[in-house]
Amino acid sequence: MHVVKFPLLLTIRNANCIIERCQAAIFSPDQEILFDLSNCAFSDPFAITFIVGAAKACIARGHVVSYRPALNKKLNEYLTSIGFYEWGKGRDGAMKYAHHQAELRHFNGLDPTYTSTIINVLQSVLTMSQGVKDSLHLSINELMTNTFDHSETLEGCFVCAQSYTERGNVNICITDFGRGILRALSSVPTYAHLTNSIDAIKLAIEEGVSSRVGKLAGLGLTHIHRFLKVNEGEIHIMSGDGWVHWNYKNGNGVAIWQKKLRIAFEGTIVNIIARADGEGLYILESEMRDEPIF
Amino acid sequence: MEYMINIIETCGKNIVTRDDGKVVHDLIIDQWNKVDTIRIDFGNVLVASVSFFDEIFGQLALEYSRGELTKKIDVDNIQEFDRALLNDIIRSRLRQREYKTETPH
Repeated sequence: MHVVKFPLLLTIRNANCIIERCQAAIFSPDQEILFDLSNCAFSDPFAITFIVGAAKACIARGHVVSYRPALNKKLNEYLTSIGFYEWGKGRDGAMKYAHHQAELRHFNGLDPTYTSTIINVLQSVLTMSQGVKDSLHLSINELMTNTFDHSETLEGCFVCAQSYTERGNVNICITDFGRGILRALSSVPTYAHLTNSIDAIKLAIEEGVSSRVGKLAGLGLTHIHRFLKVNEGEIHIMSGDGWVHWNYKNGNGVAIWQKKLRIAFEGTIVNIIARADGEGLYILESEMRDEPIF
Repeated sequence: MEYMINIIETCGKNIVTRDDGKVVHDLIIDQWNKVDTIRIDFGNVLVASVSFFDEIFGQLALEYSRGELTKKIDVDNIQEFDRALLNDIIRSRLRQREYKTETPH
């Protein structure tokens, strides 16, 4: 049996450790995989989506997956409530997740009603302005559309959202195990020169950059960035072996941080942290000064 | 002469993806040279999808100027958030068009 031992804090700050251990499980020669969360005390949406995605990838490779639950009562209750431990217990049919809560979902196709559901769940525990709600609605729609348009994965994507009342923010993570941004972009002649994931991630947020040959696209990540810039939020994008973090906190412009992951993975993770009380939102100040077109 | 596109009647609940938007875009292209005005009625439904709006208007903004767009197209009963989003998308594509025009090949 291959045992995946997770750290105390299942957060994006421990991404290297979580990705490395999950990847080792996916490619393990052992048939049985045990995801051991017994030492864990906290989990963020990044870790939740990545671990369930890894569990699904393990099953696709013929592994049998089981979990050792978190001993931390609060975390265990939370993971149980969102159906986390159900992932991988059954065979293919059981993977059609039918939980009614919005915190963790798996999609094989776009589900517009889910976006409203997740916003309603966040709204139930956090006060959000209409602008924040609309902008988050837009962001989630766009990220999901990107996944189905670009990643070429048959496995769909995993979405998890959590609200943190004490911090006054919401964290939404969308993870897919598709071909990743570098492979998607470099398949287009215009971007064939790209050779590393960090450059590809940074290019992907620019206006009009897309892997959709002969079609219009490339506004999704651009608009999410604009929203987060005004909202003074953060976004992490990981793909292949690249990890780029844009931090617009404190209104002092953007702090961009980038690094290579210790181990590459197939897919893309987009992790958004938005302030719940941020006003102004979607429309840039410079654009508000313009006469509206319509 | 005016041509009316009612989004609710034309698209129903399919107002999210690029494929949904292409249905409306194709109608506009079909009528562009046949009528004076194309009126698009959103029926106050909240769209909130970049993909949908971009597929409808993005290509038009790359091909036509701001003046040509506003002369030909009228937008009715659109939610304020969608109006802001629509304007933002068209500006993005108009900027892209200007950039392409200015960049020597």
